[in-house]
Amino acid sequence: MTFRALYIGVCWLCLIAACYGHGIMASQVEGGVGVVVTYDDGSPVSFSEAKVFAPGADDKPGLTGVTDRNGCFMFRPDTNGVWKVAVDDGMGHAVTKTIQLEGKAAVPIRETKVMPQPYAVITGLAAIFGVFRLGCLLEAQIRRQDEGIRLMHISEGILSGPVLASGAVLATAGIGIGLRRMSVETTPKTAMLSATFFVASLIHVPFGPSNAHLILNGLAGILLGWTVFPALAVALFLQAVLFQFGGLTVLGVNTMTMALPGVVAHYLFRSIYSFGKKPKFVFVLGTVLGAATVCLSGILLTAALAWGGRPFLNVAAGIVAAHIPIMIADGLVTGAAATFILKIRPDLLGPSRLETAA
Amino acid sequence: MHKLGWWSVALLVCSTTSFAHENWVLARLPKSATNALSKAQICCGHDFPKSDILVAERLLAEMEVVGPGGATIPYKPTAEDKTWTTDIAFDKAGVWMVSFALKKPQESEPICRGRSLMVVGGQDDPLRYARKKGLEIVPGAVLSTLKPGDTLPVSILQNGTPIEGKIAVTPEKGSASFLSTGKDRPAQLKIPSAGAYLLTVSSKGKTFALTFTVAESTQGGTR
Repeated sequence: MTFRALYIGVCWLCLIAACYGHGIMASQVEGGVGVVVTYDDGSPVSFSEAKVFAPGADDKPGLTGVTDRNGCFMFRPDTNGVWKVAVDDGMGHAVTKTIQLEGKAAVPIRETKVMPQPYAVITGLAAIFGVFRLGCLLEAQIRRQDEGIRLMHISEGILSGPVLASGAVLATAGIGIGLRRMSVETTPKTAMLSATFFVASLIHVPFGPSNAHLILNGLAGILLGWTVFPALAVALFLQAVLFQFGGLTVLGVNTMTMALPGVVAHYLFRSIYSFGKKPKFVFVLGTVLGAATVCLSGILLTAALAWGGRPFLNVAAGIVAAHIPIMIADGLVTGAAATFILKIRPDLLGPSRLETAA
Repeated sequence: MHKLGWWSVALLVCSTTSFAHENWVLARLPKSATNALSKAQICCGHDFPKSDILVAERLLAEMEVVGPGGATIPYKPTAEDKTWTTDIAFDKAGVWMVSFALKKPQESEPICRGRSLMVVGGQDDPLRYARKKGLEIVPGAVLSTLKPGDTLPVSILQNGTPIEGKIAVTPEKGSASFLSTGKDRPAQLKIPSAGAYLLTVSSKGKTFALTFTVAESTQGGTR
């Protein structure tokens, strides 16, 4: 049953990958100011129209040209600031790369992969529904195996009104900030991590008298920043509505306890990551922050129980203790994922200090 | 488990066909009188026969109409919404070919070729469907008498020689499918309904798109 569920999940993820399968991407030329543009299969976008937009002049290109046989286009900027290079192959494939110039050096900025808005929405929906299907199958199995404590989810009727209201207000504010920072291009990534969180919480591993499950709010926070708020809110909402994990009145508190540590992890990771980006360093950093995020979530959960649900205060210590194996597992998964992302898409982790100082 | 595998493959195929976009030229005969001008459209998009993307003018090349006598007439389309459109007079009975290519000015070879086959006046000749130049998809039976329910053999030719490959079939009405051809075995395309058909193939970085129309009556693609 688990194999079947995982198999369908993988198929859905492949479906999402196929949605991307017709785009092009651009990377910055090392040692110069320009871009190299390739299709998804790695073949160069050769002899295609390139337009360069100077800082502050997004409407009118200051320079037009053509990429070379290798998909490379270089130019000589005359001022510092954020330059944009738009490449269009004339057959429906286009990409815009942003390059920031500081002094004499070009500082890479995260690349923008052009994805038409309908596809971004479809991709996001495919991620959510695909993983929802996987979640349903896993949940059916979990219900048969175990009806134990569901960690990290405060259920209805436990917290007092003021705590619930405070949680809702703060979570709404966080979601608002996250939505303001979520562009069309980052929507699929947000949906994917929301779905990952959704499923990770459903894979329960028996541990002692209860069971443990991954949370991965650290990984989501590191990659999403403030956007982790809407991502986790959607996942928690679906869990509450579909599987009765948590509840609608405690959605705000649950979102806060999960997402806020993620945002903290994001800023800590970005500030520490800039000191170097060796795989071992990133693994350790990801592991520590992944574990710390779960720990912080546990502390927030305990605080919420202590503040608004005094009869449950005696449970708090048990909750923190129960989170220790989750901290370890979450940390290791987050560290491994961060190392993998460093290899394939380092720009997702943010610029390193080596690059900004170049 | 076997069933599961098929579902996943079908899912991937569906997703691929939904999101890949094609380039094609489609000419349709007017339903009314003879000698009326027909419209040919160079299109690009995900939703055949509707065009979503206007191909850049700098890429358009080899736009020509080959008449029944073998004479080649160049045409120059104009941009109309998201298609490049031209009017063509199919004034002689026989097989007509409307074709185009997409070629980057700096490259010597086109990256994509498209062809629309028309049979006028019922004078059909399958031998005129192929040009035996580059990559092409060639129907192996007459198009003019094609009707829903029939089976059409189609081959992939590389400079006139049959090759193995996969043909993506996108009908105007109905869902997309894939056909496999062998060196000595054409694919068998079942015609489910009347309307326009888009057949595409890719090989060694080049693509070819063939369109033709199956009429409601037995006078398929003819007048």
